[in-house]
Amino acid sequence: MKESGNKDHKEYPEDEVLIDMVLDPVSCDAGFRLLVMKYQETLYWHIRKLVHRHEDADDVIQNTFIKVYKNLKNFKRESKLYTWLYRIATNESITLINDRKRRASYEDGQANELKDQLKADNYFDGGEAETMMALAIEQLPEKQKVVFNLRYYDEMSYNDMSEVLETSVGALKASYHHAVKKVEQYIKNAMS
Amino acid sequence: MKKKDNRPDADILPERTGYQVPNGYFDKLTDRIMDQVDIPTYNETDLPESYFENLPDRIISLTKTEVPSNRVVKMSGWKKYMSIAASLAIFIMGYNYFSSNTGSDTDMVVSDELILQYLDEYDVDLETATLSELEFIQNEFNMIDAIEDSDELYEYYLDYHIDDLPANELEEIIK
Repeated sequence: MKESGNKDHKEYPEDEVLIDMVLDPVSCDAGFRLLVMKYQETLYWHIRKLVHRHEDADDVIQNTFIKVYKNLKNFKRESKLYTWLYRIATNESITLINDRKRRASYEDGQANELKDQLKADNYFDGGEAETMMALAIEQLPEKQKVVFNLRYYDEMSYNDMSEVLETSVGALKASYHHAVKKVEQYIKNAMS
Repeated sequence: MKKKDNRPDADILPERTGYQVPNGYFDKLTDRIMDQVDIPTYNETDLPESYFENLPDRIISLTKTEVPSNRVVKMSGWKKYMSIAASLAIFIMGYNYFSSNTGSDTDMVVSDELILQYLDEYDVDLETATLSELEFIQNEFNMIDAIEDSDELYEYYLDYHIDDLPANELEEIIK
């Protein structure tokens, strides 16, 4: 399975068509099904990189699409549909992470906990490099983590990231630059 | 660590995350999400069974009561025809009066005005009049023709019907 998700979206209708279908009661069911099929993998992998556990990602992806369905009629089409979907997915992921932190004092031992969690995870087949990378990203501040994932793994443009995170392009470039340096430094330190 | 080609600005970092999903996860995910959002389905069978059987009658009744333009025929069919017949009787009397007293070319002008008046008074719009209305009018003029046997009336009649008449009838009138 491609970790970056199904980016071959050309086999599905254009986003504008999908929105119109969902908003029309006659085609709503078919339209929303197509929308889910078009974006579920892309969003799932984005969420998974933030929350790590498959079970959590599974919860978040479902909540994301429920919110999408409930709020699509309010979508003003001033931004791209997929950046709007990313924004909802990101917010839902951060909400889950914050809830988890509140419940388990997660921050105290997050690095060790994540390492153990990945080792025990049936749906993680990464080696030492991938584990170290996950730990390096995990030590980033929340927003920097999202910026790094969107840019590094999803190769999203800064303009689209600006729509997702409602942050200026300049600030995003700076944030990504800092994130890369921190991740590289973490890995160098871990290897030395 | 392998060197990355496509990853922006990060040269020594791994490309993949190592995360996996259960087999067939995304195939089932769509249905699970669709179940949760519970979209009310648009079902054509929700219509009454006889909906399409009654639909033509309902449309016809709507078009009969709907206002198509400024001109509306408000009378029922038989009242309308009675009114037209009465108007034609007045027209015949008027025509007889003018043809017997003046015999001038103004007769036809008066007749035309009468026709236009009765068409207007009873809201018979030639553009939207039904075929039966037109046939009725035509019959009435045929009747006038039979009663009056007037050359002027023939001319008037021919003005309207010359294109419709069969050759033998036309010859008969010209004689």
